[in-house]
Amino acid sequence: MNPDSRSYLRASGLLTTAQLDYEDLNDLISKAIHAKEFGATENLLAGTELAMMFLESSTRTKVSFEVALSRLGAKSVNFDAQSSSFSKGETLKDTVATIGSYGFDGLIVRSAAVGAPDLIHNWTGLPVINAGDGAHQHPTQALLDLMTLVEYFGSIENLASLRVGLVGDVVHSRVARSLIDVLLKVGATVVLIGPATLLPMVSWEEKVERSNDFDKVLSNLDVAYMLRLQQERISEGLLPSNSEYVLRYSMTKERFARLKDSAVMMHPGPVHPGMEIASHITESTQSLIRTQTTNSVFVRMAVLAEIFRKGESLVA
Amino acid sequence: MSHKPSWLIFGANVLDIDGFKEVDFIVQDDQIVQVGKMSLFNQTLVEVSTKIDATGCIVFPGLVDPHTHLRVPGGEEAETFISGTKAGAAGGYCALLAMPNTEPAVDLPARVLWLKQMTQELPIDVLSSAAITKNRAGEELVPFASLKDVGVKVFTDDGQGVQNPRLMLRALQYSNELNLLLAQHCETEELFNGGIMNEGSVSERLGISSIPAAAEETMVARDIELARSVGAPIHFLHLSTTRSADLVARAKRDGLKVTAEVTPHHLYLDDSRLEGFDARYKVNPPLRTKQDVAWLWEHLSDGTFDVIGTDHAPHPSWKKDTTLDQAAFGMLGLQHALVVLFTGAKIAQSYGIAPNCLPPGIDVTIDNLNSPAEEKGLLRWLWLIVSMMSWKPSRLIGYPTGSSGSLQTGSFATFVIFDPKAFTQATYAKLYSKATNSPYIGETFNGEVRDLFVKGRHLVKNGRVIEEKNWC
Repeated sequence: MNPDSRSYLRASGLLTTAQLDYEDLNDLISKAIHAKEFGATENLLAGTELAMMFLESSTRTKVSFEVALSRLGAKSVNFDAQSSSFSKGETLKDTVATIGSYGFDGLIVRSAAVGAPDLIHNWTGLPVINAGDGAHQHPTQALLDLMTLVEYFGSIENLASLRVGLVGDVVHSRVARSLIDVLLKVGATVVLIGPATLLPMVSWEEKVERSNDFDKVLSNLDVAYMLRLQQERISEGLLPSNSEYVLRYSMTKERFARLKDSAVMMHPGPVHPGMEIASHITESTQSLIRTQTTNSVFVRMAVLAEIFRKGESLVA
Repeated sequence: MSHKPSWLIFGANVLDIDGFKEVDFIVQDDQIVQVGKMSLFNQTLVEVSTKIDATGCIVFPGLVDPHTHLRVPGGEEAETFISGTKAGAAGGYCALLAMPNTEPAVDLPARVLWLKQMTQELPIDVLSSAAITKNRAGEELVPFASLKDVGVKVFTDDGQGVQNPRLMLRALQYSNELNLLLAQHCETEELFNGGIMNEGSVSERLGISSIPAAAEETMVARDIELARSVGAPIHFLHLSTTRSADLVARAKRDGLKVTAEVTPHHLYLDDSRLEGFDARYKVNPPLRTKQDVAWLWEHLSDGTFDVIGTDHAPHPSWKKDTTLDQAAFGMLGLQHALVVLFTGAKIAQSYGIAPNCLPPGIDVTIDNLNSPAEEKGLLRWLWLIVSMMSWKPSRLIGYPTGSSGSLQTGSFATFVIFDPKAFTQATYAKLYSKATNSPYIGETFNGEVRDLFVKGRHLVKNGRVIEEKNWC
């Protein structure tokens, strides 16, 4: 890992994928893959205590962080937003100051507010792992997706020749924002696919291709990364109906059959069956969805180890 | 022979509506009593008690802010009459037009009279505007004629626009007959849609919900057509986009009575400031792109904009020191408006933008400054900026004892001594507002409001407010 990146990571935590360069990505993914294959150093983070601040609901990310912490021998304390003093009118800054005063080594934060992890790091001076902030970033998701691609395609170098399509609600997706950054760093070609109302209008336009026609670009993709679609998009006037979305952008059985034999399908979960993906194809060998969830623990172990370890490395 | 305290201001270049002149002058009571060369003054008429050396400085008429949120009543946690007027004085202002979006809103004559009574002892003037609709709810009109009777000239629902076009049309018809001015906060609510920052490459990269430029422009376009149909004047507050300014420029070419305001922050800050998630930069209308900022300077240069208003919007720290989605809109503006613009003008000049709308005959050749060409260019900018912050807003808002723009014998002794060679450091410790949500903290600006006199009272000295006798 680049020494500057490492010292930044240890002081600030993982706030955004923007803080990681190619060498950092390669190092973190290699360690995660090694830990998956050969196991991790036991009790590497014994004595480390983290606060889990999930201000927005989460199942998989939260559980996966908890498993990763437990495997490394670290402890975590849950801060439950629902029963918190927010409901009594306390400000986020005061709540965070209280949590900061308990002597934790760091925080894992999820929030609907863009920038909340950065502010919490500024306020406490502690390293913060961003477990998703609004539509901004979800860096450990991008890392686990990258790990999944490296495993499947053999090496990080091999990713440079891939065409990766991100399909659906790009504009509201923190997964997309983190993943696009990481994919561009490893040299992949990124194609954003969706209706104009769900694609960004201006940013990334020089580096990233875009298409409103999934059927047209489908057969050239190496990876079809299906994004989650929320029901509010219809009442917000961004989409006419579920059935029209399915008609144009869902991974139906027919579209799945038209993928290249070497191509794979991914999804960050939770899958909304029948919307983004037809229900019976998620278990196909060309679907990496289960591998993504398995890998989430190892990537989070690698990140936690890099930030909080005192001496030894995650892997021998 | 008089023994009242009097002042001799010497060595300065005086900037007023007629241009620049090298003159010294004597102040007695609330007036300028002699203007000319110090050596020729008739010392038998006035015994000067204090001499002020203003060598190298520019003296110009006191500033008038057509757009201040003083927050009283209801928002005293953020600002009071005393703290707000001190911040204004420190910025060179002799008068502030208070916005009516208080709690309760200023929509009845009694509230105007209360405000007048509460502010009459203050050393700078606080003027009252009133809402267009009752409680700014956008449903029924305020009693325009009764409010006119207690001195209100400007009406605005500022903080939001009048959404209903039929009601806006009626307001224009009714107020036009009474010679009143409607000032619109242009924002179509359905397009604003809970946005936080400008819609553009920065918001898309950060994933922050955004406000399209069209939210502002659609209402500017709508109101230009409504005003055209009535033949009434319309004033647009804090315009922030390229197209808004273009629409106003075109309406002016059509001969409509359209006037427009621009703020110092939209001329100096852009949306990239939000990259650190610092809510001090959350404001409405939002900070736009770098291209918009440059284009606003072009429209200052060509005379599209009439006045500069601060939209000074204090908030308690708990409403700003939080995540962007929770934070309140608005930023402090009064104290640093002039130096921000003077600094911005230098940047505009470096891009080759020069003021092209100065009236003929404005002579900015200042021999004793011995200044190179770019400094003369900057003085032309300063003349334009001061005109848009002093006599033009004074005229627009109908400030009764306001500045005519002249500094001559018989004028009110209301003037700023501005040092263009000094620097102003914006720090929390030096803020006069009760609130601290200034976007300028940590920056150093060109120029300094060194002294302020308002009707013969010395309110600011060496950049600091003289509180004794003035604010006690």
